[in-house]
Amino acid sequence: MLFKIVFSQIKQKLLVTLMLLIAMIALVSLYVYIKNTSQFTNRSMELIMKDMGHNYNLISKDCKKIDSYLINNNQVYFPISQSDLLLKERKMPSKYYVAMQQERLVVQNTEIILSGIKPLGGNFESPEKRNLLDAVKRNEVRLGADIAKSLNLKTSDTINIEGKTFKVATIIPYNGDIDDYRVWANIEDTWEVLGNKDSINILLAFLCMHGTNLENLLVQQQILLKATTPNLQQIIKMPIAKGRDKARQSTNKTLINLFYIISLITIIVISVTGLYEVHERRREIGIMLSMGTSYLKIIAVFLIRILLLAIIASIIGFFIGSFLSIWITSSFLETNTQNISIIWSDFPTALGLTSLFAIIAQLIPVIKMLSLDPVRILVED
Amino acid sequence: MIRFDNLTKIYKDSNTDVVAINDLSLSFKQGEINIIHGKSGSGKSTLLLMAGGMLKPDTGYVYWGDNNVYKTSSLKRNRLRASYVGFMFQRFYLIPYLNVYDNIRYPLTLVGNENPKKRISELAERIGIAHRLTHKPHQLSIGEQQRVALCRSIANNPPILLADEPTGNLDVENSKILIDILKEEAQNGRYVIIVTHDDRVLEIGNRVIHL
Ligand SMILES: Nc1ncnc2c1ncn2[C@@H]1O[C@H](COP(=O)(O)OP(=O)(O)OP(=O)(O)O)[C@@H](O)[C@H]1O
Ligand SMILES: [Mg+2]
Repeated sequence: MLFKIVFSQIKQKLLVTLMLLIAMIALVSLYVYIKNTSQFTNRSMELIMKDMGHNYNLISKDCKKIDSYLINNNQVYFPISQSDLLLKERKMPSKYYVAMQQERLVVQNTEIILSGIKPLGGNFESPEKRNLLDAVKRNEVRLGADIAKSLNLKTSDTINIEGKTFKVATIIPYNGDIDDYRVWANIEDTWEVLGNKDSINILLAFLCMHGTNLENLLVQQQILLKATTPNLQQIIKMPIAKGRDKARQSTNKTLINLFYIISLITIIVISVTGLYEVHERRREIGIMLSMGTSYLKIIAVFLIRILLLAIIASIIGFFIGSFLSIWITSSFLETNTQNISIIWSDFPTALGLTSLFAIIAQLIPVIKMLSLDPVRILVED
Repeated sequence: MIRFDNLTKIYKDSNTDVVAINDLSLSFKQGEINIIHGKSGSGKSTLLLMAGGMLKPDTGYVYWGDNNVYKTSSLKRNRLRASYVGFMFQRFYLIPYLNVYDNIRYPLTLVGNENPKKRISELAERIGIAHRLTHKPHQLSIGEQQRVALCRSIANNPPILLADEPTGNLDVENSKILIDILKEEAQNGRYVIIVTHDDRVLEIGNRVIHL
């Protein structure tokens, strides 16, 4: 009988119920749409940021930064074993490093930067958490675009550097910076060619920097570094990380405010509709009470109906919001760690929160109903 | 089965107090039709609402069987009312979105009888609305609606039947049908209390109480 009453009431007030449902769907869709879009944007930003390269570099304390920037002969070498200290320090925000020996050379009248690398750190945890550079095989090189062009080299050609022959494994697309002049090789090979075995002149790392306060984090980082490897100094390129952090914060703040606004609107819409309904149905409620129906049963009718609407609204709203966000962002956003697709893990939250707010909102008309005196209603007219 | 002990009800207002019922004690016999009579404003409806457990008297008690109606919690009172009392309003108050069948069935579900097909068709047959069971209240005439309301109030077989002006809106013919049923219901052993102005209803009363 309870469900019969619920469905008969819906049928009787189909238009009002439908309007309420549509309003609820719109609110859920809007929230899901904006949440997904900002999540996809955030992930996409992460990829863009990584494409910009290493943003946290460590050099010897005795080296002037400008010498490192210019990659000249005044660069100061330090033992590669320094990186072990960093890897062991669990508090370091980066778990991956690339040890590099870099020197400027002239090969066939062309200036190159020979860059011997060795990726350090555990196994790659995920596509996101990993070194930005892969190891280069022994006796092979990867060429920057400008070098390949100047020396007229293609993949599989060979190049002789200081008496050692290398095979060209890859040619890296234009980057628009000094990397276009690099010849990437295995560090064992560059030690062979350049000497200074077991020493490097720069350690490359990457910091995501999703802390609450970026400035604070950098200071902490400095202190930590001093304690771990006092012989090194840090060079931080932060604008991108800062930009990403700001974007992340602004979406988070927008989302939380949007969440409050949408929740408030949902509660108001449901409460007002519910109050109107209690008023419209006061005689029916009165007669039911006068026949001996418990308040509990009458409340149940109200709550079951709104719960039903909430479930339908969250399902439909979830799909509309998801599809809308996918449709709009998939054409221009690129992500790596998360596909632009339905985020199923958000569904239980959408369902739970919509139901919760619907019930909370419906409590207002329910309380109003509890104040109804059946006699008063039935004898007032 | 139903008894009033020293009932008093005063409607208190900021300026004036209206004494609707003053120290009234009554007991009733099974199978009798009791008519409450009196001029307008004499407190007839007030008395009936108190009898039906819907209006708390200022002093005095109402008993349904051994139950002191206003001494029990409102939750228990609701439950008692569902099994003890059938109440007919002058304006029937059928539930608009339920059809005739479900309107009659509703009080039965309150006492745990979820599928009382036989009982309902019996009742509907008796009051001549058997062919209208699937209709909604608004599709019925006033007389038919009042008959459905009567059906609903006696569906549970409540020992006590209270009716406030049950023929107030009806023409002669419909009044007669209704009066006959009320008479039968009393003969079946109910305690019947009717508030009325209608002389034809007065005629069938075994006892007339003047307020
Ligand atoms: N809620 C109320 N507040 C104040 N006074 C009330 C209230 N309800 C009823 N009264 C007054 O109490 C008195 C008795 O009212 P009641 O409705 O019981 O009369 P009645 O005998 O049923 O009259 P009628 O024949 O016109 O239906 C009347 O004077 C009425 O005005
Ligand atoms: Mg009256």
